[in-house]
Amino acid sequence: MFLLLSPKLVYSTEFYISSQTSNAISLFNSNTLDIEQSFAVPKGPVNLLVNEDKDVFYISHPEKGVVSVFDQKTRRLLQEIETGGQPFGMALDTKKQKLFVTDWSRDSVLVINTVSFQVVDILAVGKSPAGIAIDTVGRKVFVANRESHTLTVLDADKPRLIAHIETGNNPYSVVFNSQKNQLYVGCVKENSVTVIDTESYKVIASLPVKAPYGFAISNDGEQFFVTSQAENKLVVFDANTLEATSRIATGKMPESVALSVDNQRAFVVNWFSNSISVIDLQTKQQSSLVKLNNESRMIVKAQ
Amino acid sequence: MNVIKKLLAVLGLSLSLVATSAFAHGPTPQKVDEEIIINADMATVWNKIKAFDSFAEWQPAVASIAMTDPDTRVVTLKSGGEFTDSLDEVNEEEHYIGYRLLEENAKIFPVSFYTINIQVSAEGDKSKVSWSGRFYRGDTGNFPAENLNDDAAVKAMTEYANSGLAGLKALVEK
Repeated sequence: MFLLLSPKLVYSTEFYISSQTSNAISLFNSNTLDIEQSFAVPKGPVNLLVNEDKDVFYISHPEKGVVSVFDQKTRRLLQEIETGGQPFGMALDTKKQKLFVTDWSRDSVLVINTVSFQVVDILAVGKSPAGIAIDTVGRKVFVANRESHTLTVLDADKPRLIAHIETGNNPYSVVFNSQKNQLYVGCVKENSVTVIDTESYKVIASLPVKAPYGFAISNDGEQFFVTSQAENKLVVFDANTLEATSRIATGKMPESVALSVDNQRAFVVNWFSNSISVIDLQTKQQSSLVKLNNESRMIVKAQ
Repeated sequence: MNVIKKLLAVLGLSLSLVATSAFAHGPTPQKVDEEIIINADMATVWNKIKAFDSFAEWQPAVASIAMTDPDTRVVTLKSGGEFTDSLDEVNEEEHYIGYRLLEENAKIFPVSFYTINIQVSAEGDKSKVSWSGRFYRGDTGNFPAENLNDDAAVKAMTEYANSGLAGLKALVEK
């Protein structure tokens, strides 16, 4: 009885997709390939993050200076957290009920208590922080500083700077591969992905990808995927050799990517084309195209 | 506040609470999507488009181009002032050229960053040229002046695309 009711045991096939200019979130069903629903949210939604434990998701609204909180079941707005500044990237500390949010225009990271919805700390980082990732086990937060060309490593528990690492030019997005202890940093103007070892904090590779934007990592950590907005491709990398194993055509100006639960397909949101490219990762080709709201940006799996 | 001050000291950085930043790209990316039909074969049109250094030949808003290296051009506008473009890709198979704004000059052209793709395809015995772009307003803070807001950026980029496409058509059909 209790098991049946637990939401965590149900594998969701739904994904949230933000459309910044439509002020809406689309709900994409990856089995039927339908947009099941589109619901209104506060102005200018960009990044999305699911908190599985609380059954909510967070949306950043940089132009409103707000992080909104939505109920996953009802899709209703629970709270608008007024942060000021331009809240952008988000990372969830699943162990300590904290949400870390980059603030693009105040060169800082905001720490939000996910129970009280209060901003409890403001941590100074580099210029125009964009992407953010967390290692909840190693207790580190990684921040890509777009205009400082650096990555800041912060202690997840106390206000302490651990490292400051030079990346390629204009690091925008960052993701953490916990199984390989690697960080992938998309350097949008440098046309490269900087790979950093999170034990030595050394840059171990710079991989050529033109205008890299969104990342996804396979469940086993063996592969990672990045959209190339200038090449209109999804580039697939082997996490061991750090070689590109394929470059798959997408729609125009792909922004973000998420993988299906079984990792057999990739869903690429094409910002310019207003579509999702459904990519079969076996044949390495687009198998279908789904129409989307205008100027869609981020895709994340619902839980 | 003590925690914050302590941290600032630790990081050796200053925390500015003024929410404007000329170089940031936090807000909504905007779109330009224009096209034109040109009465000429694709090869003729593509030869004009792919010449990154000869943009002034067909874009009437541009007074001159100065190349600083094979992938970098300084664009001087007829209306005065200059900005710099950086070439991403010339794709011969797809008849596609992509470049981006390397150094902005929002005073004369109210965008802080853009990427522009121009592509030609055959349309019967004619050619279709599409001009696509993604860009950010001149002031990317949350309180931009009217001349540096999203509308100003969209207007400037749309006019730039349309004058370029019209200029290309006029040159090739001449």
